[in-house]
Amino acid sequence: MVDDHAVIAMAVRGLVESEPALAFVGHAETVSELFRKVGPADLVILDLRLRDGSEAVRNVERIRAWGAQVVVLTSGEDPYLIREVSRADVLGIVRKSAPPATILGAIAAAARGDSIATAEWAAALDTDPDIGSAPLTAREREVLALYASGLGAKQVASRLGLSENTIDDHLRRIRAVYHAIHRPANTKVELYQRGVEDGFLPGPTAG
Amino acid sequence: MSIGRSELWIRRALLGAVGALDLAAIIATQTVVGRIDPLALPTWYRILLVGCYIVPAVVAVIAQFVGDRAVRALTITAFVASVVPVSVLAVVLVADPGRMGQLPWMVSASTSAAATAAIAWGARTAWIATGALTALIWTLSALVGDLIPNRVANDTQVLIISIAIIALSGALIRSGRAIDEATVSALAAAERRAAAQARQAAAERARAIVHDDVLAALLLAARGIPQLDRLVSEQAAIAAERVRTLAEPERSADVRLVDLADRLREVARAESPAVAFSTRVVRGAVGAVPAAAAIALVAAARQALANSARHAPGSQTSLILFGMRDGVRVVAADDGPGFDIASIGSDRLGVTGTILGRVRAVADCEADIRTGPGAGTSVTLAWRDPQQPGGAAEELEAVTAPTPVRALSSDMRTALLIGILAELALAVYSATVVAYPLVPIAGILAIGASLAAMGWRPLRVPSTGRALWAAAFAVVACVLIAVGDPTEYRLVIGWYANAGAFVMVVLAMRGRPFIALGGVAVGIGLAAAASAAQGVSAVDIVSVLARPAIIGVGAVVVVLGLAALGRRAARIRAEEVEAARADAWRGAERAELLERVGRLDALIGHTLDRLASGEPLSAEERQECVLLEGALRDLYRGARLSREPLIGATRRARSRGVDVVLFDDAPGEPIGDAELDEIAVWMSDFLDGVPSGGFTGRILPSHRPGRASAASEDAATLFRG
Repeated sequence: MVDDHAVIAMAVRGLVESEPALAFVGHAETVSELFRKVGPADLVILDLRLRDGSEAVRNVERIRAWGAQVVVLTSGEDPYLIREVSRADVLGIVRKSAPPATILGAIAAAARGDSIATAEWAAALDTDPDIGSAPLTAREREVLALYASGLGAKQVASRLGLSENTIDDHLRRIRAVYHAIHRPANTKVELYQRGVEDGFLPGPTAG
Repeated sequence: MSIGRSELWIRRALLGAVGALDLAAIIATQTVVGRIDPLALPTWYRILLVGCYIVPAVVAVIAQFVGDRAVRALTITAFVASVVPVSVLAVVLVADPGRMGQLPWMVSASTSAAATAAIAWGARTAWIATGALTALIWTLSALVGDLIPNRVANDTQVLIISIAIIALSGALIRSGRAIDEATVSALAAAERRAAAQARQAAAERARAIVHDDVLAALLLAARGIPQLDRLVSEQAAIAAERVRTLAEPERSADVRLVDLADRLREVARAESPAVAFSTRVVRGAVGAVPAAAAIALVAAARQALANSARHAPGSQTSLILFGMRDGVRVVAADDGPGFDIASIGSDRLGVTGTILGRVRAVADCEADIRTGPGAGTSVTLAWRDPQQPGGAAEELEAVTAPTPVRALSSDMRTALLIGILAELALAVYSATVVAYPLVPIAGILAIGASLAAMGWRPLRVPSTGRALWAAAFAVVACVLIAVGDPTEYRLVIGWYANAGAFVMVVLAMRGRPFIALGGVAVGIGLAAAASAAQGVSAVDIVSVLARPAIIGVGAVVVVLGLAALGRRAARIRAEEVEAARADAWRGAERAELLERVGRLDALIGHTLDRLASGEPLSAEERQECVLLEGALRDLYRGARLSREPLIGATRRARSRGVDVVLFDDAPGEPIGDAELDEIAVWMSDFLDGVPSGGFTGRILPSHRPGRASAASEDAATLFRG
């Protein structure tokens, strides 16, 4: 856990330790301290806004490079910060004030490697002006908007007459596309590759 | 009505120029210009004459040290002193008629009446005064039998110079006034902008404290985990302290400038080896920066470079740390495609949320982004030392101000037209009286060729080639003075040289002062040498060529001086704007912070104190923590949804254990109060029917089927208005 409020870390520790399948490895106030003080972990629960001035995106990148997955905890601040961190490789964004069972469920899912879709995450993406130009299908945009309105996977599936698995597939693709539209393309070749990956350009054909 | 600083500067400078030219005229007329048949005048009049023409020089000196009202009074005094000699002379000649001879040169050699009238009242009055004086002088000349060609030629030259001075003075004063008016507008705009930014910064600071400390304390207190009671109490004490000291200047350890440079260098290197990092530190620069400011500057610089890498791949990117006497600035710039900042909706918080918001959230810090399509992007991040007066703008901000010389368009055209016509008249006249009429005709052609070479577009600076041709033809016109009968040398008072010098004045005004100066020097020098070779006496050469030399050199000095003045006026303006902006910033920030402290303290102060006391909380108190945490969250993320009756409904729902989340996801879109009230009523009705679980209320982004949505675990609905 990386959070500069010890009291939050203690509370999360209590939650994690209440789940037999999970073990709390340690707490650090900064990402650098995490690397120094805490041993290897499968999942890092990261506070979105740390007082050391570090950026959440950079923190996520460093932790991913360290080898752990990331779930971000937020107080519910501005959607821009959530968008920023959503562009990085995080499994989910969870509100600190969510019911403890919801937080624990999200941590457990992330520890299994599953991604987590929350209304905060969906609302932030849904209002990103860049999402308008992303190669999302109408159905995917609909799923995102419904999620942003606070509906869960079951409700969205029932409302659209789809299975929950299909909704999960849509969410995975939304996450991948959103991640992709903000990758830098430093060369023309990379730009072309991004275009092909994102569906803006046709891929090379044989012959 | 008082005048602005720039106009005052220009009035003082013009008075200085008038005084200097008048002094030169006095010296010339008293030393080298002799009278063949001077008019007999009383001694007291001669003393009065010299005394009156010394006045503008004295006025010029005093004007540099007094305020605008005194400058005005002094200018009028100088004008009166300039017209007294000819007026008194008229009285003397009318009272005692029959005197014959030449009028004193001083009476008509001075242009100070025209100049001071233009400075005091403007061009129109100056034209009238100049015309009246010229008419009076010619009338008096006729009375004493002095209306000879030399007199007419001399007075015509003075008239032409007066025209130029009136045009120049008027245009410069208007230019100074324009700078002052622009300064007033810029001050008001800077104050408004700074106040708005300061309020935003204050809001960011308050928001950061609420999110960082207050919500953490309330959230954990609400959870009621006994093992955490001590930590919650400590956290609440920290939160209460931070809220109450929000309006006080932040106290933090300092980061040395050299360490800040190292951190920024590291950031640049980490972003890309291609980012060029450099430092520019002036002598006497601040030695350190508060830690909070340093952290914000470094983080924002990192974000700016990351943005450049993302949006301007392959561009030249630089990061520069400026160490100045009143603070530091960090400038991250790229030459990439840029973007239209105005086209970015307020919902797109990439720029404001991370870079501007982060920096402005720290006391005495500011951030600014300048960009435009195809113009690259420049992000300026600054910390200003509150102990130092403002002035950073002087070193970094280019403030554009009207350039005086460029403001001469219409006046230059008028002056040039009248000047040419007068010179033409003079030339035609001289062609009728001199032994070799071809010489004045050649002079007309040379002056015409010089003007043609310059081109008839006053706003355009002539090319070097054109300017050189113009100067060459002016030189030819000057040299023509030595061609012809030496006995007629003083007959036309050297109109060729005066005309050449006059054309060079125009060249100087149009942005080629050094070529003009060269033209005058070469022209006068060659003319003097050629005249001497013709056997013309030294006294005659000096008396004829002194005027064009003074005109040419004086005009170039004035033009160069005024250009420097324009730059100084622009700098003064930048300083004023910067000072006003800094004052407005501090005032607005403090006012906003105090207001927020008051509101936050009223809302949560009591609860935080209760938590900080460490005494066990009752169930009701824990419940109050839940409600307060939710209310604060709604205030920021729910924004316009945080209004009655929804506030009451969310309290009731949270008391029932409902997890309520409100989103205002159309922050930049105007929605009327009436519609917001309807939404609040509609949403609270829905929320009151939610027994448990979660609830999400949302103002939808634009172009959606409805204006707002409400969803619980069992139902969802849209508000369509």
